[in-house]
Amino acid sequence: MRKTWTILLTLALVWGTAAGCGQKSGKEPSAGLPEESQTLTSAASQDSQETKAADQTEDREWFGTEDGKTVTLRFWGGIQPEYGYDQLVADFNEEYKEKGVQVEYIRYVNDSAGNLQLETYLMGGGEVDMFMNYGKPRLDSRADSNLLLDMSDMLEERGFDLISELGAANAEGYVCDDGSVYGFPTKYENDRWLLINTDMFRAAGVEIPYDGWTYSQFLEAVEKLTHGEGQDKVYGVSYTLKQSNSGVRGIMSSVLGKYYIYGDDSASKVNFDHEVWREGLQMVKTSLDKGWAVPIEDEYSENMTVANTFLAGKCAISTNVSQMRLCMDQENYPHDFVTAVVPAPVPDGAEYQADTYRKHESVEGAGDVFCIAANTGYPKACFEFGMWYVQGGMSPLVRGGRIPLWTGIDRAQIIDVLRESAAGSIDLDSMSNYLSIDNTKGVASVTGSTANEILDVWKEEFEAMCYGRQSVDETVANMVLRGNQLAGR
Amino acid sequence: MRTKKTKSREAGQRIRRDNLIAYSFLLPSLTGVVLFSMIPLVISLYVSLTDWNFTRGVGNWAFVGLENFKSLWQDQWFVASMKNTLIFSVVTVPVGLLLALVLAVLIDGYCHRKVAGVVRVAMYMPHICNIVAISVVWMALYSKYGPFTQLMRILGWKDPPRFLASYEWALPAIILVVIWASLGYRIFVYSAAIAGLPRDLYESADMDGASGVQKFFYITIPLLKPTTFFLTITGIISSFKVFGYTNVMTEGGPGTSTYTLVYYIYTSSFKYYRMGYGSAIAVILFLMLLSVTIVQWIHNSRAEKG
Repeated sequence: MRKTWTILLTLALVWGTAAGCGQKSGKEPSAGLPEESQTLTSAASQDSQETKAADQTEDREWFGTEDGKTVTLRFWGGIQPEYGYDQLVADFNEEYKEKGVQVEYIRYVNDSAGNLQLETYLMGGGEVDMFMNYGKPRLDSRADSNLLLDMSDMLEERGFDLISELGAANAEGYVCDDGSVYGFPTKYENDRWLLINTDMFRAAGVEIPYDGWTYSQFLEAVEKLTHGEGQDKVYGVSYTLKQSNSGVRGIMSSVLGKYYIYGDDSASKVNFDHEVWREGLQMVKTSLDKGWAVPIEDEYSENMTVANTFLAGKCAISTNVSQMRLCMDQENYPHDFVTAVVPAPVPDGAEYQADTYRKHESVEGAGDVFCIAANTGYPKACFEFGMWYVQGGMSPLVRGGRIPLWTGIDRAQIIDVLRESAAGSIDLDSMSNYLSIDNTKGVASVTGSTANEILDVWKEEFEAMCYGRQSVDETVANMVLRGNQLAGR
Repeated sequence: MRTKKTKSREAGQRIRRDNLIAYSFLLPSLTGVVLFSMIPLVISLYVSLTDWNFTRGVGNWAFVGLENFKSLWQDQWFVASMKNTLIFSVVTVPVGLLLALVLAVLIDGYCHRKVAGVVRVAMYMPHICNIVAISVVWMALYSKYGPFTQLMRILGWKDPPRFLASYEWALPAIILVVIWASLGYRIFVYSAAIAGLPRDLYESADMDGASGVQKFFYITIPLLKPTTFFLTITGIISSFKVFGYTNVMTEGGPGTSTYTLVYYIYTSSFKYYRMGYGSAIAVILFLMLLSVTIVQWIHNSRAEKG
């Protein structure tokens, strides 16, 4: 009898475990499932929904489900919502509340772990309908992995010609050879500029380089701007390497443009032995060796960011212009100086005219690529949001330093917005200069499947140089050797 | 009257029934082990022979044979991570064990019973703390004007380095954190073992006039050999798997000075999307751990025999 009970108990345990597992993986509703969370019933009554369903064939402005329900799209982006995305989403939801679509903004961290999370959800489906992609290599990799929706047909149907709407040079890099479009840029890419503390420049008697400057002028400036000792020392420049090395790379890539990583269109070799790289690296090394730049050891050990260096008054120049939104945010980052946005310096040779490169005629001019997940259940609604976003819907982001790429945008209005929101924080002359650039003349850089690894090699060798472990020539030689090994893989 | 044959058949049925019951109890956990350990292990062995970007989905892999394993040895990142992992293991295990043994003996011999309990619990706390929390606290301690760096200045080091940002000091700095974090656990295990040592041996030694040091070297250490062996094996295995501390504190840098095998598995698989290559490194790590485990098995079986 006892054995019978034992067997029964065992079977009950096994059945219970199996049933529990089955329920979890199969029937138990999850917060992340689209069926439940994305299909929200509108505030209107059931009758009204039925009416909508009946009318939707006639009303092409309906983006909800066929049975009249409003859908909520999950839109992932790498920027904190308070820098304009909460306002943007509120605007869209208000405008489209009668059209069957609403948007929820979800922030992800744009680092390797955050992108891994995004891609895992893109593969699994249900959690992401559309997102902002940062960096062409990631876009290519995601398109190659069939994670993205081809928007070419919808663009054609809408009559939105990327070339004329965003600028030929900006758009060309996002249209594949077979005509497919897996994402389109929305923002003027601004990584090739620097943030400067105008008060420090004036106090040191250094002219603000609105129209560009050269490497030697940059070094002269950072020398004059450096003063003090110990904990009170103010450095000429912080490269904020812990936060991102794209700013310091941007100084050189602003001149090298399309070929800043690879030396040819086939991405078969790297371009790190170009004289611009060599001279740029020498400029950085000189500024570090002379004590005019925040030492790399301090950058790493003190976790230095724009907030705790530039905005804290510990340096006069920051290469991390992508953090411009913080300079406009007096509430969270109170500071008593005015920031100007100035072009990155160029090499001293006669062929590199500061004025020419200030105009950015040969570098990437586009970023924040809008993409739709391949497995979204609502491609039409997502595309509608993308169109709304790029054609002016993203205006609230201007306060956060994100300038719309769309050629139809009124630049004067952007200045007005900035004048209203950041007049005391941002030098509006420099901002006008920044916005006067013809951003339709940018070009996308050549990318390859190993671009991320090559940039990590660049970072390692660059670090070794900054630490004084190798000369500029050795650094360039190592970058080329290791980079070519990866490019040829 | 039951025959001998009938009895034997009944005995066989009883054994089979008992086995069935035992297996049904094992079934839930066995299912978990097979589904979540054995099958992924076999798949990862296969993946290590392919070139596969996991975002392309299961099945979209190109078979490359042993190519991943061949290219490992020309890869600077792999060589650096292997070297760092071995250094990490060679330093953390013996130093950690020695410190734990000495402290366990001191606590056992010189602390009041109640105080000893408090000290052991206090030292055990880091072992149960979150690795990220520990790492962030130590990053603050190691910062330019952090308490640890200031202490070094007080002790006479005029210009101490930025420990976590130094090519030379980043790995030793992380090793120190790991030794500190695992010290409490080792002290606990040693203390339990010391409590079980026969007291009569120490009394005899006292009568023979042995000093404390002599008792430590000639009684305590030999009798704690099984415990030391156990801690050595588990220490080696856990040191091979170090990831969290390097990921949070240095991200493998500066350069490759704190790259470890597991960190490189992570970056190659999830940053560069080279799942096949990452799996190949995982297979190498698996073989290293397996060899350590085999040593433990051999030792245990010899100990059981006598």
